[in-house]
Amino acid sequence: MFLYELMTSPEAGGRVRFGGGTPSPEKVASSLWDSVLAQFVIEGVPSEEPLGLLAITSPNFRDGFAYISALGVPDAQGTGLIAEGVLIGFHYAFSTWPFRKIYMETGEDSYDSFRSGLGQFFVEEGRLRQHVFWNGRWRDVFIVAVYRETWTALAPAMMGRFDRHAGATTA
Amino acid sequence: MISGDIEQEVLCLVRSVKKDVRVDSLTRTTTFADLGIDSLDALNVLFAIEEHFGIVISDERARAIRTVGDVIETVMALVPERT
Repeated sequence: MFLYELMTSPEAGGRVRFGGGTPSPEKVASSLWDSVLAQFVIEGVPSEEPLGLLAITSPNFRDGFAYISALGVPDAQGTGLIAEGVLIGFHYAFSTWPFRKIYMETGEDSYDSFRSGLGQFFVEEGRLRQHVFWNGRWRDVFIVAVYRETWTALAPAMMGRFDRHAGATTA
Repeated sequence: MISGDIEQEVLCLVRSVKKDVRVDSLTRTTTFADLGIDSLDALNVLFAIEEHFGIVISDERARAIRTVGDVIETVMALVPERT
C-alpha cells in the first residue's frame, strides 16, 4: 500500500512514473522492477517508517553508467531526509559496481529541491527543453551526473556523518 | 530579531550553510523555503547543528523542521542544560 500511494501520489511519484494517471495496483507492482538494478525503501531512523523509494536503474556496464531515481512522501520532501537516502544510494552504487558516473533525470520543479549541489556534488550534462507537460504547461527536464571521482572525494566525510545514528541515542 | 545564545548559534550555523542569509532578517517563523534552503542545504544545516551541539536529531524530529524556530526548539529540547 505504501508503494502504491507513493508512486501514484501527484506530490510524489505520480507525475514521474505514470504521468498523472491512476494505474492499477498490478501495473504499479510490475513497474517496480522495470530496468531496476537495485532499489531500497528509504526509512526513518530509528522509527523505520517508510519515507520514500530509491532505485538504481538502467545500468550500462560497457560504458560505465547508470541512473538513480528517488521518490519521497510529501512531508519528508525538503527536510533533507530523502536527500540523505539518495546520497547513501550513490555510495551503494559506486561501491558495488564500477560505474564512472551516475545520472539523475529531474524535472525543473524537482531540480529546485537539490540545485544547491550543482558544481559541488553533481554537474549538469543536459537540458531537454519543454520536454514534459505537467501542471498546465511544458517543462524542462535536466540530466545531471555524479562522477566517481567527485564521490570518492566527498564520500568519507559524508558517510561519516550518516553514521551519526549508529550507536547513538536519538531523541 | 531572535535573541539568546542557542538562537544566535543556530542562526550562525544556518548562515554557514546559506551564506547570503541576513541574520537580522530572521525570525522564528522564517521558513527554510523563505531562505531558499533546499533539501541538500537542509541536510547540511542538520549536520552542522548536530556537530556543533553534540546532539543527534532523529529523523522524526528532522521531518518536522520547517522554520528557524523549529530548529531552535529542537536544539533546546536536546540540550536542556543550556536553556
